[in-house]
Amino acid sequence: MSIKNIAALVSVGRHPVSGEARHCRNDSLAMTLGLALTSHLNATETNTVSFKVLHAGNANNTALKDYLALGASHIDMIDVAAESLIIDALAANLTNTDLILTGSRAENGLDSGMLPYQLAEKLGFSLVANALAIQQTTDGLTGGLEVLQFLPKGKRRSVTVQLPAVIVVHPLAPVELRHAYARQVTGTINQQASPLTHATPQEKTLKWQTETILRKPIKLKARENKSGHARMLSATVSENKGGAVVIEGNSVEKAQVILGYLREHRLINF
Amino acid sequence: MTEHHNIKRINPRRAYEIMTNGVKRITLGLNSDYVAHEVSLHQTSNKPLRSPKKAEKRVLVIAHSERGTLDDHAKQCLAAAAILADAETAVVALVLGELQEDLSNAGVDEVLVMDTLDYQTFQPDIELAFVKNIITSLQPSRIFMPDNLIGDGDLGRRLIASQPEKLAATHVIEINNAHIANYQLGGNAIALASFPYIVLLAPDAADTSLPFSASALAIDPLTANQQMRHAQTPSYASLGMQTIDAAKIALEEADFIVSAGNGVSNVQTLQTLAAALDAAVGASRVAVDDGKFSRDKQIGATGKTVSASTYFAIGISGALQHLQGIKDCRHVIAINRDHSAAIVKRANLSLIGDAEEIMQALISAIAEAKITAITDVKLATQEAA
Amino acid sequence: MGLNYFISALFWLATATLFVGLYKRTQLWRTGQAAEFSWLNLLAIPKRYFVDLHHVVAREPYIARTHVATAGGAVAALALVAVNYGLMLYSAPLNWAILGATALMLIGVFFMWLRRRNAPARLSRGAWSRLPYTLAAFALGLIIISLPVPVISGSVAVLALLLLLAGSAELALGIGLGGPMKHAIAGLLHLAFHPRQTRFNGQLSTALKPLLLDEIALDGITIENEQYGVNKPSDFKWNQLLGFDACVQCGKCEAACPAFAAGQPLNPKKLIQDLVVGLSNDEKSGTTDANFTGSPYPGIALGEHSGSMHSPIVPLLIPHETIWSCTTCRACVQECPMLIEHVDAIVDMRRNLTLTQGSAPGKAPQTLENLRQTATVGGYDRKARYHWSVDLDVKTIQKNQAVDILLVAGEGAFDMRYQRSLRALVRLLKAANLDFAIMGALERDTGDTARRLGDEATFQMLAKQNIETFNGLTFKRIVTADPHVMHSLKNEYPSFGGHYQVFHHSTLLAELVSSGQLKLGKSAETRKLTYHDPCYLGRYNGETEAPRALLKSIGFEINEMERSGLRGRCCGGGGGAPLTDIPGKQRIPDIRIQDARSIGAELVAVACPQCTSMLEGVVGNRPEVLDIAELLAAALVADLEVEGLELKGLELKGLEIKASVAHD
Ligand SMILES: Cc1cc2nc3c(=O)[nH]c(=O)nc-3n(C[C@H](O)[C@H](O)[C@H](O)COP(=O)(O)OP(=O)(O)OC[C@H]3O[C@@H](n4cnc5c(N)ncnc54)[C@H](O)[C@@H]3O)c2cc1C
Ligand code: SF4
Ligand code: SF4
Repeated sequence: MSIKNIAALVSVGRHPVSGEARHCRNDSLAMTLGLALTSHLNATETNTVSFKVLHAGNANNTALKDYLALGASHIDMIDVAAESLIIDALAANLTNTDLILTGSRAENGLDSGMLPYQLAEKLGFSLVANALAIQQTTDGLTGGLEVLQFLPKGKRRSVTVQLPAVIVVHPLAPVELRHAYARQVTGTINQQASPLTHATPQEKTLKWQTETILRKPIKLKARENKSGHARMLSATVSENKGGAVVIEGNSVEKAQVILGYLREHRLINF
Repeated sequence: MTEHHNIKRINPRRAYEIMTNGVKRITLGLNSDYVAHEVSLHQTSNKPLRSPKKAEKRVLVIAHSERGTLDDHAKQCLAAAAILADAETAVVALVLGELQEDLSNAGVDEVLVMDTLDYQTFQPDIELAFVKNIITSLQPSRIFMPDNLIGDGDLGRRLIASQPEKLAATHVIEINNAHIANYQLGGNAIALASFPYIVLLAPDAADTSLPFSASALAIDPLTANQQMRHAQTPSYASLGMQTIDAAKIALEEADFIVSAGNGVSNVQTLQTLAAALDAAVGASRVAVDDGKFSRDKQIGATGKTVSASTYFAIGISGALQHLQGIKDCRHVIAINRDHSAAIVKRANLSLIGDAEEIMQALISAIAEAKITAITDVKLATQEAA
Repeated sequence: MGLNYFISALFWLATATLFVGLYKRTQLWRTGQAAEFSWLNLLAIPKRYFVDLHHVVAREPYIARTHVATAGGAVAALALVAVNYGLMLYSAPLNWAILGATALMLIGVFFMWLRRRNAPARLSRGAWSRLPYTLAAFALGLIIISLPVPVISGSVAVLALLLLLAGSAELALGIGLGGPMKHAIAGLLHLAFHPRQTRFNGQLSTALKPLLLDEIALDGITIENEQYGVNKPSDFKWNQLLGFDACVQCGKCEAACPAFAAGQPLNPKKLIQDLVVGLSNDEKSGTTDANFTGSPYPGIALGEHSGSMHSPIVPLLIPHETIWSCTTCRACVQECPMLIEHVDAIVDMRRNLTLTQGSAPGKAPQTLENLRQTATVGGYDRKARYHWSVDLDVKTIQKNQAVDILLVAGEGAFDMRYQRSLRALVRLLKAANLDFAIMGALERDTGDTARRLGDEATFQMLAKQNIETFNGLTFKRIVTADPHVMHSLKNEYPSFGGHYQVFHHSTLLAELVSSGQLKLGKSAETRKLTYHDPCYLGRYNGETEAPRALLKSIGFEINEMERSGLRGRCCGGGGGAPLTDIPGKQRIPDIRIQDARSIGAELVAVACPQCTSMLEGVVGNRPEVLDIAELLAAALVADLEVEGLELKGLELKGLEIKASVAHD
């Protein structure tokens, strides 16, 4: 089976500082990877490969335009009535797709990174996450895709996966995003209403409550009966706003402070 | 693969033997009635035992091991599970991949090891089937997994997607008995929810230092092991791993960076320090301009943006253009002669003094610490034997 | 008398050749895009030549004189030949006049030749080295035939004719074949049809021309017709093409270019010549740059690039890195005797690369994204821009509250270093009892960097938003410490309907000092000082005096560096160059600091946040870099108390702990 239909899913992101709606970088990487694979296959394979960029949601167009500028010539936007319908709406639209590319995490909702998994489950597709690069497998027999996966500490793994598949692209995928205004002007967004109006009997979902101020998370710690001295010590070296500053002492003592810090925060294992 | 709901329930107080690697092991089928206080004789620490007398419930922590050990992130999950567990709940660790270490100080009551499912081989469908079987047989009340990139984040999500009827949360940064929390809206908001069934825990949400220890008895999931060999033709296949040399690892990817600025006169010392800390090397633009480092080492506005958890800024003044490149670093440690340098305001810890001297001292301290660490391990093994 | 007829024939032949050549060249220029122009401007040529062009040439008197002699002599001689031989008058007195004119030309040519023997590296060789000989041949030929000898021997006549033939070929074929003498005609026409006509009204014309973007889309006119900057030579306006043809390859631009000096792959002269290579070839297959006889782009060999009128310039004809090395400092434009507009050409090409391909290198794409999404260069929180002023008790402008001065801080406000300068400026404004307010969270980046990087869309978006903000506020004038902010607000926003009185802080302060509203003592500094002119203050806005006057007013003597004032050397910070960060042999600021070191300066006064950060980024022992505002604030007499307070505020808030084992 060779690849005929490729789709990339894009969502609306949000700038972390300004809150401005924008493309989601992770999705843009997936889309760009898809564009590159499509044009590569179209240049080398005999059959033509189609590529579509899909967005489900009630997006405001200014952010979707970013994807046009980043290379999508056309975006299909499925207008869904409720967030809970997104997976179903996407799945309905993607049944004939061989390869679905997504980003690893959205930036404007729950950001759970679950969407590709739910979609793969719904469609019965295989799924490979943390993809850095993709190519059609050279021997036609395996009928699939070769994926280079990211693993931490400089490790990489090559895997093959049977199509149809969902590929989740890793944020460090070596893809250069190029934003060109002219493409934004010529690209088109096609809005279509989703035929779905109510969700399939909805699974239970967590009820999230968003806090108004962004604070630091509180680390879970076991309750401990520290000696007075130990508590004093940890109070003195606890992270102050500007951080701890050690001026006094000789180099050996300072080196010990560093080691202590690294150990305290488990940044080293000796 | 669906029919091994027959995994035996195990009494954590059963007989065990200590393996050469220091792991206590129960072999299924052997029966004996060792009791808890005897177990405590073999604790390497003198902390009190947390393990429940009578385990009514279980919480399951699933994590891949790496080179026979669980990493800190996985241990944080274990610690979270143990801290939150009540007196009737046992913490069960399901380790995918080999395990060579004792998890009693990590708060684990029972350990299941599945060494064929190590993280290097990509077999998510098999892992998922196996894990689901274990879950069916253990019926845990909660499941914890580290939300990491060595397979658990992936496996966890597959697990969540495969049972949509269960509540789950990912990227969990805050956890306690009342609620869990994570960042949403692109990191712009903290959102709280009540405790779900499956928790994928982000790094650093729990402190691994525990005031108690646990029995950490090993259980052989033999049946499961055999089952796995008969798995269907998989949709996935691994073609192999590559490892990029630690020194050549892209700075964007590095987790520990030792970075040199204009205040570093001896590049060799810095390289030695970086090697001792197993860290990647970065540099300020001035150090790059000076020809001490190649251009791809430059960190900052016109160089790389890095997100290492530890950023060690040595002899770097902390110009705005430099700080732009390290805004995502969690721990910044600075060595600088000048206590009014901008980097001091950014750093979590600053040492004021000569870079060369402190680096030298640190190199010796590290060497010493490493020796002690090895002796400690040896002593512990001897003691255990 | 046979000779005379020959010469008449030769004259008409040459004239015809010239016109055929000119026609051919015109056809090439006309391949370019339409531009507004007026034929009447042809009448302005003499004034523009003798005043505007000569003003530039006269900076090098030797060249000015040889050129006056050579060109003046030649033009006069040709005019006389046209009358005497063209109209077949053959009058002896006219011959005398021809003799005189030609002799003058020959003298000019002699000195031209003399200099060519020791030509500086910036000059091109090749055909240009031939020029003294062909021109001398022409002059000698004319001298011989116009000598008052009744009959000259046959062989001498033949010699004269041959010489004349050689010379006329140079003069007549130049325009058609693209020889050196092309410059004469293209140069004169360029003076008439120059794309920046206001340059000849004694004004500075430094604003970039807007691209039509949204309006076109909104009007429903198809976008296909719209060009996003320049992709191929034929995308330039026809008068820009004409301008490139005017280049005399004198290399003044090359000598002034900071990027070239730093060994980055840019040479403005080569760039113009590459464009000439492209525009000279109307065919599909490209012509290579192998015939270029000047200095190549540093690090890039000749002969590997080629182009034609209709093929993409970048990267076939001009490499990417060349386009992105430019700091838009306008030093080249300032120096060019032919008044060629290099920066416009470079930005035109950048616009195409950025708007159609998004291919700006380095950190440029990230910066442009930051500008789009946060309206700051660094991706900061706009609300944090004025955090440095919280303890200074300054007003933030409010919608319904009129102020005299609106202080626009610019991107430098996010930089701890430049905050010092801004704080100093605020103290000065307060000391002068001015009614001013800062812009607070309302301020967006002016889009200067986006525009220089060719992202006209982002620039226009920001410009429109800013103008809307400004229009909702009531103020009389804008003051800024950032010349880049000043340039875009003052010179470029008017195209979008934003007309403001914008002042650089040095201009305002100089006014206050001279009117006595701001009282300053003498500076306690004893260090030797020099002043570095920011390009966007000096060349872009003509302000070179106010900063100097201010420094003198507090007792400094200003030691000028090798290049200063309108000819000042760039710090390397403009045009987004620090973002594209194209490697060279050294960095531009290193060169500038070297200028300061070589005159023994211990203090460099600056007036721009970019200059501050570029010059302070120089490694090693270097003079201290201080903003004018800082130097002035230190000379504020009645300010000791405030200073004491400030020092305290600067004290480290960090916690000092004793070294001890920090873990258990
Ligand atoms: C447009 C632009 C872009 C730039 N981009 C970048 C960029 O991407 N990355 C970047 O890093 N910089 C960048 N810079 C340069 C930046 O502004 C600073 O100049 C640079 O970061 C300073 O480097 P440094 O801290 O190593 O050197 P310095 O500023 O010279 O600081 C050296 C520090 O070392 C300390 N020190 C000296 N000797 C010793 C000693 N023996 N022991 C301990 N401490 C000592 C000093 O107290 C000082 O704080 C950029 C500048 C500009 C203008
Ligand atoms: S503007 Fe400045 S940097 Fe650009 S080409 Fe001209 S002289 Fe060179
Ligand atoms: S562009 Fe101008 S300055 Fe540069 S070589 Fe040509 S004529 Fe001379």
